[in-house]
Amino acid sequence: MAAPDRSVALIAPSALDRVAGLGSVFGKGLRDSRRASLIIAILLGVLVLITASQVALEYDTAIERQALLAQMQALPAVFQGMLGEPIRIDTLAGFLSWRTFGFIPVIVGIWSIVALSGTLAGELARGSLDVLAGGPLTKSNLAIQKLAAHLVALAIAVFILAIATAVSIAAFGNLPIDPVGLDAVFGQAAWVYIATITPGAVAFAAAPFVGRSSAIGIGALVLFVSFIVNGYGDLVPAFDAIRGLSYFDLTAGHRPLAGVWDWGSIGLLSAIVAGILAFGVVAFARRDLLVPSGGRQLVPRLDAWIVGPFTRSFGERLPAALVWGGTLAAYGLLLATSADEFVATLGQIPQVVEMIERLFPDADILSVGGFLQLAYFSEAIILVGLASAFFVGGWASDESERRIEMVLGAPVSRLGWALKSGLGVMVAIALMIALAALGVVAGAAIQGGDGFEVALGVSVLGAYGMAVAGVGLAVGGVIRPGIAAVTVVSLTIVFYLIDLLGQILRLPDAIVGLSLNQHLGEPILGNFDPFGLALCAVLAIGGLALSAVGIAQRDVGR
Amino acid sequence: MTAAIETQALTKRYGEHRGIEDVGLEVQEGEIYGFLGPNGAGKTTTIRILLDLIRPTSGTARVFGIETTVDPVAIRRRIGYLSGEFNLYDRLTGAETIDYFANLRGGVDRVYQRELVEQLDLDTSRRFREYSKGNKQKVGLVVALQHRPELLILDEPTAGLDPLVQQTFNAMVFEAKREGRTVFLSSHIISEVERVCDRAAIIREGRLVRVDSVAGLRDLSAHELELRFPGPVPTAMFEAMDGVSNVSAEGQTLRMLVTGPIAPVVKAAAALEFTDFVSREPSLEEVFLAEYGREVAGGRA
Repeated sequence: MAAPDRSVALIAPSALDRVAGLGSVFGKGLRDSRRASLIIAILLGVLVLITASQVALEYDTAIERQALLAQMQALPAVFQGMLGEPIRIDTLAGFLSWRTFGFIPVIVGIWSIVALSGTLAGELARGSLDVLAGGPLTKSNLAIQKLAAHLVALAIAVFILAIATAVSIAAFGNLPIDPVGLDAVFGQAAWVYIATITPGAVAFAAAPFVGRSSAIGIGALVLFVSFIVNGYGDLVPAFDAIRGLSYFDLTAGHRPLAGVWDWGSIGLLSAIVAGILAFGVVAFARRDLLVPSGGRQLVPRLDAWIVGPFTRSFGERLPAALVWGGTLAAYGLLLATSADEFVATLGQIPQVVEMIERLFPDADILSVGGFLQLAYFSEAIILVGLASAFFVGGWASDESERRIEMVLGAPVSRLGWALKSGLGVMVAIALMIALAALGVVAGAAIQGGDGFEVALGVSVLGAYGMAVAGVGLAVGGVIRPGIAAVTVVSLTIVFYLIDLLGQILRLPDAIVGLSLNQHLGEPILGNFDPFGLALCAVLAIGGLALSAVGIAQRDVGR
Repeated sequence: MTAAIETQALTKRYGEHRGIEDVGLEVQEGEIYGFLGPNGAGKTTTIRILLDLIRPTSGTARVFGIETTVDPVAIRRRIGYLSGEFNLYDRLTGAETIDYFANLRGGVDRVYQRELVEQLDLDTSRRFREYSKGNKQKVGLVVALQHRPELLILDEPTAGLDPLVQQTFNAMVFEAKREGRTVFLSSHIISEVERVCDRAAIIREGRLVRVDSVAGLRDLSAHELELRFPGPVPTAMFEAMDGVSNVSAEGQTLRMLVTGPIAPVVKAAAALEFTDFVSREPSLEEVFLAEYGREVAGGRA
């Protein structure tokens, strides 16, 4: 047999393809991330621009800025809560650092968790990693290239955010105290970058051992627990005890836009993150290339889970509903048991009491319910939204992962399947909220609060979760399943941001009113908003119905 | 007798992309019908229309006389379906998965279900995500067969199965036929269709190009004939005959391809004196490849 002709010239991939194309694992990873990276960068950049322009418009004199600073510093810790200490918010850059940059690592951290948990484990589950690993690459090289692609994609997004921040401050900084140097902008961006990667790194390292879904849960737990214990450490003794473990607490002294620097903490966190990522790479390289079996069964095996589409859908969502509900319950329990301490502190500051009473004229703010409304409801809502997205994503995967084809091979109508499986999502949300309410009610009862009223108030979170899930189901049913969960996440974040920024930036009512969060009343205080509740019901029921009609009409599985 | 499957001018387009074009099928009850074509020819599109997973752009499809878009649930009640590319619930074991689909049908004969599991040598205690591709396919087969459907629609059913299990599968298909049930088997594995099917259709680029019995399809292709003569080879005589092509002589041996009936050639040869005669029947694979070869030669040359 003739030897193969070695003189044939091989066409090597171009440098561009290797960096951002199909020329390498890294290039492909970066290419796949480019859209998400750009969307995040543009959204955050626009958010910074809008915030800066509104600050310039609403607080355009030094006196107004000082008034704002005094007002915010007078707020008790529960109001400062998630945003941390308002440092130098009389400057435009300081305000951006406090009000906008404070939660960017939470929002973008979710992307990091989802991306880094899936970069290896997700591909492994799909089977595509086997093909890659069959090529001439070591497993560690493969893992490093895929990891590097995400790190670079995130760096690009943060770089664009930094540019948008510098431009915003230059364009809207109308007071002499406003200008800051590029070192401050990029110093702050460095904090955003490392704080965003941290929970993703944990998910990345956990994924080879526990699989993607559990890794997402672990990453989310690290993110939210770190954020919450840092925010409420001053109020809740239990949080204060573990506050030192929070990476938000560790880096709280590094806010360059506000003129506060602590590179030491950034360096320490970077070293920790690098260690976690290295552990993840080594764990991936040394372990068998197998989809983790998932370990223990959280839910007992019952015939009930395989009766039909409703119980199957509910059964699939049940473990996650228990975890999310348990987390919300634990959070509520800890906050509720600290309520008396908070109320006692608050009662000693008459000016603050007066201010809160102006905001909530019909509510007894010096009560357990008042505290829970402020500290629990307004923050738990984002968790409920994300949990709803998780459930909707699972529901949508029945079609995107082609399970529905076999199910619809049985005598099950499309309409029936959609209604029953969608109902399973709604019941999972209801269960999650019931569990959450148990925790909050138990804490409130310990403090002598009205358990029933608190439970009723917490149940409004369920109405909210079902409403955003309804929209997700409708989008998944009418358009395509791949965008159902993304829709719910986007709605949750947009509603949250409008609610958060709307009042302080004095945005027009027409814009603030777009947030569903604005129409939920103060239910834990007993103030229900009938319009908002009706809207939730319409979105939940209408979304489910629309989803069913959509699935009955369109081609399935395309 | 009502046809088990009947499609008329069935067309599906995905925007600008071709799905199937003007497909007319008629599958009689009780037969094993092969649906042959390479990847992307339109086999799965046709099947997904029969299941009402997708809707035709034009034309109609009926299963047991019921139009697929009118009452798909009534159709699905009577069929067993194995998708060519499917996934099931990762957390459920094989047994739970099989039971779930049994429940969706309101229950099945558990003894028969167990027999199927044993015949396919399937360990049902493991979680679905832990199964190999072949074992996942076995679960799919049990799901499709366990309720003794009147019509089995199987899309690439033996993908991932080892030869022994493929034999078991063939036996199951023959058993279904013996019981008077209908099987619609889509495949690109020609030997599989040749082995088990009564009739077959060949689909090419979305259009049906041949429908016939497996034997009939073979007849459509050229037989290879070899005649040996004691004296000079009468090449010109055979070249002039209808249906004869590629005539070549080598020493005292004459070779040719005969398309259609070979009797006239045999009669002509018998009038002469020949010392040996060899005829080789084409395989379905050759028929299939000939169809595609013609397309390559005629359409793209």
